Amino acid sequence: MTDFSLPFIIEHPNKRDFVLAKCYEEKQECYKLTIPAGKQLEKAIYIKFKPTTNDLNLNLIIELGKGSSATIIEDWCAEVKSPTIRFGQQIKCHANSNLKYVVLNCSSQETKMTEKRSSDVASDAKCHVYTYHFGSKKLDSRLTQTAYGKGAEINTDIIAKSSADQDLSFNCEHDYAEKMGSGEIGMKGIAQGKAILSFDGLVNIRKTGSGSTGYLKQETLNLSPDTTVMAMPGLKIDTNDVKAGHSAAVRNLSDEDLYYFGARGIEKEMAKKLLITGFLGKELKKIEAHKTAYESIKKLI
Amino acid sequence: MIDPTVKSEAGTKSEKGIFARLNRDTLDHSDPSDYMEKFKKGISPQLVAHISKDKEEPEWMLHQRMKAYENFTRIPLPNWGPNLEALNFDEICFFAKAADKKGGYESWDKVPAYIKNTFDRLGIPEAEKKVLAGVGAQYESEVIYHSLENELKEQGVLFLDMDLALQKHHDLVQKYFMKCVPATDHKFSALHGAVWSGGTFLYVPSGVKVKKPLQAYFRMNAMNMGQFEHTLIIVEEGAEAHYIEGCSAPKYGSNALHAGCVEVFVSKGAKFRYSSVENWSKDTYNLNTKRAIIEEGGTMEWVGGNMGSGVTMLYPCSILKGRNARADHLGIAFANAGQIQDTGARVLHLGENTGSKITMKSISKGGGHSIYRSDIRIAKTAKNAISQIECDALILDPISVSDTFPNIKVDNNSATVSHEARVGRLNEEDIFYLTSRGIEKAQAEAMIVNGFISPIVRELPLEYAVEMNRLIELEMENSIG
Repeated sequence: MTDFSLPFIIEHPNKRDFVLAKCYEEKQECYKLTIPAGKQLEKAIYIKFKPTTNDLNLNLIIELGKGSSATIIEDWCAEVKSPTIRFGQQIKCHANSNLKYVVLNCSSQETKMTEKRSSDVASDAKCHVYTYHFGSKKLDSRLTQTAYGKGAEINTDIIAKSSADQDLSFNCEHDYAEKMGSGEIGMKGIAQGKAILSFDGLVNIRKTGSGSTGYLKQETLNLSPDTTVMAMPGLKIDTNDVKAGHSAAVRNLSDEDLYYFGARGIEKEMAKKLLITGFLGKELKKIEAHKTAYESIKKLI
Repeated sequence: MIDPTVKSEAGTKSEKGIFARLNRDTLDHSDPSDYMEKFKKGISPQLVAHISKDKEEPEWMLHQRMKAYENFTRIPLPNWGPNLEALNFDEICFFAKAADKKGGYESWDKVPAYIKNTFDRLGIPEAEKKVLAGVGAQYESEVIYHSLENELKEQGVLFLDMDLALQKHHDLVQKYFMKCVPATDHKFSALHGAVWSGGTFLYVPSGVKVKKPLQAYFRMNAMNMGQFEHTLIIVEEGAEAHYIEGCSAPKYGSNALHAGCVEVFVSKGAKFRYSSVENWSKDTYNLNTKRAIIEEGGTMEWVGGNMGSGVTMLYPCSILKGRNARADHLGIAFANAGQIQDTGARVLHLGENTGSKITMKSISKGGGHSIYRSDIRIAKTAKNAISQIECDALILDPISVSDTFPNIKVDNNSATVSHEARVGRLNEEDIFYLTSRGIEKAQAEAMIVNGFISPIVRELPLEYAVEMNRLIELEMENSIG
């Protein structure tokens, strides 16, 4: 399929269903994965990263042609040990395309990672990005989805667990630039140990985005007295024919819930585990169809 | 603590109410300002020294003013929020006196007629007779009238002009003045520290419960005026009080500046409510700083309506220092054509079991821009702290804008914080329901807006709820379509 070496492994039963090419954009080397117009991929494409250098700087472009659909799983769990990773990603979803993009990050807790992701979604196209972050010592994640076509649907789910002395920071923006866009940002996390967990979200509906519906939801379970948790749910609304809202909650497991389990003979530690699994379980179910990814995340939870 | 009989029903409109007759002419009326010839525009160390000398202040206050002036020249304009670069400090008059009576007159009959007429039109003397325990009235840089019921005087309540308080209660003022809002905080607290003039000093001794509200009204009259009143409130252990502040200015089409400062000290078990109905003219920059420190078991309530000003940046702050301290913030902002209402709240939870609740409503219309901004911080020491934030925004037309920028930082795991916000337009079904019952569309829309703000307005005493509703009505006139 390619005549050049790749810093990642691509897995798919039929590699002729898409095109992978090396590219240069903004004076930077990049890799471009294209799903041709009209192509409907039933099986997910796995992109497995296993950097061998100490300083990985990588740009990946994903382009879905008109009317195509695909599920892509980006996997950073294969013993990634690069101390520094800088990852750039651009997604382009042309009209009526449908992309599910799953990011699994359980890289080593020594890794420092900076990622900048963006997606441009055209008319009646759908792009749903799921990111599950459990790795990295320090993570600075920026993700922007733009609904630039009429009726575009953009959704983002960020699920994170920050433990020990991890410092995970997420910034996610949904930008509605055309009429009748819709979507939701969900940011859900657990902070424990001496971790830092920061969720910064923004729903931006431009003057040209009338008829759009945008929501943002942030939920954090704060399990340890030494954590620092930040929540910044923003709304920027430039016209009135919209439905927009946001909510944010930071809390610990409730004593009442623990009591409920205790009264039924379940030890406190086990009760906590069950409650945490319940807290993240709904998010995990969203990728249940993709067995490998599902099992990887389930173990981490 | 507040007399429940003075609470209003949501949406109350009384034709006989003191403020029900308010109209645009009342607010935009200006008096002759010949006295301004004596006062120069711009700020300098000489002006700062002159203000201090004119007020016969002690040396420490002069020193504090000069240090604040240094800070003002050093600290840049904020690099967030509305753009303030059009604000020209050389075009503002920082100190002007319309009448020369230190501490203000004790009777309205002695106040110069044209000033009294202005306050008559605004309904202040009438409100004093009917619903208030005391009144302060400031015109330009100085207070021109002050009163307090004798019964409260006998109980040891102090309610007087800030300039006079510095002379008569020097030690008390020195202990608290700008300890809650230091002049190093930001450019406008520094400016305030340098040129402050007038304002209110309220001291409520331990255990005294002031049932009727006290009010101060601040009026800017001249063109390009700046007003920098200082409000210092000390509510001692177990005491209770309610203070209302109102303000307005005529519109000239050139900039005016308000950079007041409110400091509130709520002692153990005390309860204090601060209400304000702000209606500066639409060419005023309202860059006010309000902050309270609340000790163990104390309660602070902020109720505010921001209707006027071209640019507002106002975020009342509560520092919940003692355990079981509590703060409630309720606010309405109305951003009409050409206005930026950047308002919100700050709460710092330091003590155990502290609680805060923030409820904000905003309305944007005619291209107005309303912004809700908040900063909630839960310190490591604030075990079991609870904070709840709710903000709703109505955008009445496609050219108006609403933003919400909350910031939450939690440093311990026993805290519970929740935030919710919604933005949208008037519900078509609600309008249809009312119009199908014979109500005009504009009136139906105004009714829905009144219902939207009623949770805040109903926390004001009746007369002031009427005033708030009347101001909203004035903003809604010739509006929605």
